[in-house]
Amino acid sequence: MGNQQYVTITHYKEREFYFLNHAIQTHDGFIPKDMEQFHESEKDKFIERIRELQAQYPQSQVISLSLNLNQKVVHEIDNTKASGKIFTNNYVVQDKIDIGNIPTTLYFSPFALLYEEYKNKLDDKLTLLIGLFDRKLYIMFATKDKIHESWTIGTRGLTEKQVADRVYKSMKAYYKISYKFADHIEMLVTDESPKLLKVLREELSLNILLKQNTIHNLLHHMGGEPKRTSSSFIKSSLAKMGDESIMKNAEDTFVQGALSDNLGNLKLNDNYVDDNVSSSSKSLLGGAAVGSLFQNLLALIPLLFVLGMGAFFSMKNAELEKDISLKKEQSVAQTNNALLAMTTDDIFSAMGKNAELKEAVISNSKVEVKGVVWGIEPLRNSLNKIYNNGDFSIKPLENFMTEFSFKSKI
Amino acid sequence: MLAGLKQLPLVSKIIFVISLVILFAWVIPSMVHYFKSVQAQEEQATELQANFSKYGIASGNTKKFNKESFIQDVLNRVGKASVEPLGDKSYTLKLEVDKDKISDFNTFLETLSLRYLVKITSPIIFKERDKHIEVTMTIEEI
Repeated sequence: MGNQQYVTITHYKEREFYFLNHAIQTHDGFIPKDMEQFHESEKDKFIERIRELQAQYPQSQVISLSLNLNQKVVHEIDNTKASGKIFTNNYVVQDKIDIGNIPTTLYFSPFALLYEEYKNKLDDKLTLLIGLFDRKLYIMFATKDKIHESWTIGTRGLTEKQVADRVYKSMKAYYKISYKFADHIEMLVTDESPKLLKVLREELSLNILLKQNTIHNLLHHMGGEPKRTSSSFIKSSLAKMGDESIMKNAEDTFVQGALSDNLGNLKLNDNYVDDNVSSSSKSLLGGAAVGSLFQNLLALIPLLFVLGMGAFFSMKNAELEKDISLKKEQSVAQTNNALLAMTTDDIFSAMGKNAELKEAVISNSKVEVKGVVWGIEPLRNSLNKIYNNGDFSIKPLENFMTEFSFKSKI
Repeated sequence: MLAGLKQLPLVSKIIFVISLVILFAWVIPSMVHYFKSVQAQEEQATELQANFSKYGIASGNTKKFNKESFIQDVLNRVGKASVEPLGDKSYTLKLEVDKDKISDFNTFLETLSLRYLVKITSPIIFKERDKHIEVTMTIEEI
């Protein structure tokens, strides 16, 4: 009867050890068996044991967990990367699947596990979900309809107090980019460390609700129902390869040998972790979260630059236009004045000694002159020479003198 | 480059697009207008410079109108003068010109707008008064 049961086989690698477990899935939950441990030098034996379990339980899923630090929850699927859908418009992505040649049919992200664990508690208020998996913090800010931000932080080599400090800093970092504090904080711890739990409770707020469970149990839970397996990296990867029947047939065990990636890439030696702790620290304080803010600030540079240039040229244009207008007006005024001077000179030259001015109105459109004349014809000739359409008239005065008047348009 | 742009956050993309819109809709037209204005300014300056040279006046010596110094200057060049304000930067200018010094008045008239930022806005009225001619005109500050 045993081989008719649906079994979930779970494994993951932590430092130089592979941890293997399997559980019988029942209607009332799963029944885990004893955990097995293999040193990485016993990799072949480890793989052989998985195959043995698969042979023993034809209806089985082999489930593993990505402990990659370079994974992130995004809102659009990225077809160039390994990705899995957590829920509507929320996908977890990492550069590549790196299981090596170890049989695996379902491959989950800690973010998917976290969401599954707390999805029923999410509402419209912002909740900070923190998962501690293999001494790495997987953090995401979520509401019931969206995962707003996520990042990962390494904590290897840190004291419990420092881990608590990292969690606190992550809250501060998120506040810097969103100006929001989480209304509620949930934390899922997979390492069995009573001391860590105690410190987290002491160092952080009592509002942080802590829960402890093993990675194996979480993976068994994920593999327990087909619905839950939708939150899987491997699913989207297989779909790309044309295989969409993961859940239909337990024989579809996916052997990652086809992928060139080697399990060695996942080796969590001290240097690797130290590097990641360091880069995660950057990620927390100056990287992913602050990076987004930094990118936005960088984007302001071209905006400020074009605004500055626009303001500069507008100001210069206003100054130039004022100066041009002034020069133009001065130039026109000077030309008019020169014409007036020319007309005045003409009128006075024409009168010469033949007449004496009494009154004159001179503009650039007309002249009107009145005076006493002694030589009528010479004056008439002189004026008509300058203004041939002018109206020249004379009038005898009582004192035997003659008054002349001359009008003309120019 | 396009791949790099795609990876930018939405806010950055929006800011980038706004920057481009401002650049093409405002900055570049302003720059073009500026360079055209510089050219127009140079042309105006050249035209004015020719007038300054013609009357032997150093360019850049044009003064803003000031009643007292203007009256003193007219006295030195032509004869007695009085200036009555009409409001809105306009003034009535009355001069007493000797009959035989009408050429001095003409020279004054030709160079008036080169030496002061003023323009004549009315016809010039000449009236005989004994041995001199009274000249009346309206001037306005430019």
